[in-house]
Amino acid sequence: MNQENMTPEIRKLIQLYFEGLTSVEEERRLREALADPSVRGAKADEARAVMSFAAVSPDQSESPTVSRRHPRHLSALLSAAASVAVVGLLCWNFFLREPQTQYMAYIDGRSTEDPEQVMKLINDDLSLLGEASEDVADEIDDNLSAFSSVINNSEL
Amino acid sequence: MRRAIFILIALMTAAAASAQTGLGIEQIFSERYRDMKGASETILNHGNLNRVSLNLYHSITFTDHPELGAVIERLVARDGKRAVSKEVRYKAGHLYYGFYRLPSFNGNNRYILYLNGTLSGDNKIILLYLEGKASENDVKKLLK
Repeated sequence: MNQENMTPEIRKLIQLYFEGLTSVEEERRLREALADPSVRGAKADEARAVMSFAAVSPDQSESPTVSRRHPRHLSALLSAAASVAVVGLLCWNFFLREPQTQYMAYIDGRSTEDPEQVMKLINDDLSLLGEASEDVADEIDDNLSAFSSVINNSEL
Repeated sequence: MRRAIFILIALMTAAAASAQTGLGIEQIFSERYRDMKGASETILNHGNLNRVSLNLYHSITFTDHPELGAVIERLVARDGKRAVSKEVRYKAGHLYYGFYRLPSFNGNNRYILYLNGTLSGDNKIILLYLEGKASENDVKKLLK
């Protein structure tokens, strides 16, 4: 069994990473730290696994550093792109004036547009989510009842 | 200066077309995850599920992929920080169930639902994104 060997800073970065709170710089520092094989521990191994799995899909929500230099021809390109975007948006709005229901599913990489098949998948998902939601609601009710009992008994 | 303002307005208008972009969970709704064995992605546009108006129902379900729990949980937690309201439950230190209502966009309500069944003996992980006029109560009725 590997003995844990992590500095408090690394431990903190791992915690922030799993909470989705790391900045780009902190994530880079964490990645560098985890590249060192002497950093050991269950949490370090878990972070390594997640980072290596997500490595091929870089985080698109973080904005990349933008060069401050804007060549003149870039303005012309932006103008053209903006014009295309506006025309595209107008066409998009026109064709979607009367939206129709569209069904689509991908199962093990194969696509289907069969409404029955798609609705079955939806109902299966909603059923599982519904069970979990009910469990949460039941637990809230139980907890509130427990508090209520204590309060009522203390008032007697 | 006038050209720059025109460019800015046009780009913002085009960007407003999709409310799902800019969310961390968008990374999971991609070909890389969709094509995994045991994955199924479902898209319903402008549907009317049990009389609840939705512009978009977008889910991805993974069967027998417990390792994805940590990856998806992190993205859900990040998007969930913007939530107007949320209902979450943890098991063994990990997010088991999450129901998040995000700030509305273009007059549409937006929701993220997440369930990691691998934390309770099941083998499925579900990530669901909803958009439409449906209220929070309407969406919860869908789950019953």
